[in-house]
Amino acid sequence: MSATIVVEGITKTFRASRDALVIDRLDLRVDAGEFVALLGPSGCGKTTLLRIMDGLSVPDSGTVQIGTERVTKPTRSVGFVFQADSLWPWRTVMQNVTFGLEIQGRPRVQADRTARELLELVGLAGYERYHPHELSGGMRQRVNLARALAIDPDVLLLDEPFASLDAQTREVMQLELLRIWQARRKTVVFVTHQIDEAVFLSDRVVVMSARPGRIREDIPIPFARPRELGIKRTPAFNEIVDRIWSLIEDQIAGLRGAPT
Amino acid sequence: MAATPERSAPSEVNRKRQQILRGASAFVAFALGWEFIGRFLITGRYAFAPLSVVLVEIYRQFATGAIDKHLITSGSELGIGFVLAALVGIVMGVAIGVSERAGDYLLPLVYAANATPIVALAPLFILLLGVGPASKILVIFLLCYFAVLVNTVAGIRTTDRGLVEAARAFGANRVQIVWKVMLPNAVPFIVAGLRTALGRGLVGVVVAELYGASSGLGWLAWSASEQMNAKLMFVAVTILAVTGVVCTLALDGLERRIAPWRRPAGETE
Repeated sequence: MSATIVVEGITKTFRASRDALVIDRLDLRVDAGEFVALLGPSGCGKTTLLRIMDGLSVPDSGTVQIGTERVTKPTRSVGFVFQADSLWPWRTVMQNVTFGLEIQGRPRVQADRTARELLELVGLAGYERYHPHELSGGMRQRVNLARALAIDPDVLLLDEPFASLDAQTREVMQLELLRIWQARRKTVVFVTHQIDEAVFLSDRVVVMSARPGRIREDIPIPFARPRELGIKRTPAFNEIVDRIWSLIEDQIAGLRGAPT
Repeated sequence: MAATPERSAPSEVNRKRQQILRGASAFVAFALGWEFIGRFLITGRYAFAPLSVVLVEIYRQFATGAIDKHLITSGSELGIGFVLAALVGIVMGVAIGVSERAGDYLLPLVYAANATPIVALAPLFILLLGVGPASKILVIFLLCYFAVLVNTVAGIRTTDRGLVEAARAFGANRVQIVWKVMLPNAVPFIVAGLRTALGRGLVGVVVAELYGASSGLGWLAWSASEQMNAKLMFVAVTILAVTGVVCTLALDGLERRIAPWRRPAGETE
């Protein structure tokens, strides 16, 4: 159902740009069933770290272990939710969701049944035969989520999945994600640059420093679950947001002097 | 069926109707102009024929079956040449699109072949392959395959990296990525290439039959024109033109069916 993620000593350099040390000896542990948000200024290597955790990118050194398995390439125990518009436009909603099972060679009937269940879960029952271009941005990201869940992964990695959505849709999707997470209980790593989103969703907010990416702070979020949008307006919530904001502000101030 | 999405909203239906009406009115104007010129400006029957005369002759040619052997000759040459060109163009295009190495080896040759005036080589092909269909098929093939190939390469190479990455994240291997991501992405490009190729193929028919044939629409047009039979020449040319229009429309329709996510220019989401 869910698995522990152990990241040890990850270092990653981009060869394209000279001396671009993106991530420097980074360690991170995410317990089974935990919801962790990765937060940091843009260019701090959050997405790179997530891609390494999925085996989409190979680190220069260090290891990632998920459950008992060492990650070297994409595996079926990890589901990845991409930023907007990573759905295959020629596939219907249904065919997008069944893709992972198709690759694993599962029988069509079984894959269709799983997909229908998940589309129901993400609130898209009845849209099976639509194509992505016929859906709104929020609906597309629901499909994206269902697609990642279809392979029944132990771990769900989300790369700024709601970044392209308007503020209201984003809040609705945050609630939806929590509801789905409570139903399926995956280990979740959620990359975002929205502080309030990170605090609202997660058990822990891990703040990364600007290049080279390291873990700057690891902040437990104490709010009880299930959470309502109302907690975003409580003093305790704003206090945490402010604290994280000041951490990131330092980073941005530091970046300002540096060439980009 | 679920509720119909916006793609058939009333305004788009109206736009479609407007588009068809405008296109048709241009055709009507062209037809009237043709008729007018044939009736009043160029009245010599050796040089020109009004549309009505040509249409009657087309009817007569079909009714008597006189045109049949030309249709069969040209149709089979074009069909075989075009289908071979499509197959070779798509297969080579995918190979070049997927593998940089294949592109390095093949693209210079392909571009050189395209820059070569194939039409000028037609007499040579007839010398080598004889006056039978083989030489014509070769000319048509050489004129057609390039458009299919370059469009296929473009379709493969413009595949969004995110779409490939997403497939990789689900464990797709290289073959699966080509088959399930790059090729579907290239389909609208391939159809566009086929459309261009068909136009060149129709030219190819006429050119190939010029240098030695005993039947075919191209040969008919040339021999009629040499005998100063303008009416018959226009019959052949009109049949070729109508074939071009019908095939282009069919490929347009095919593209809309297989790539509904690619909206024609002017429409927005």
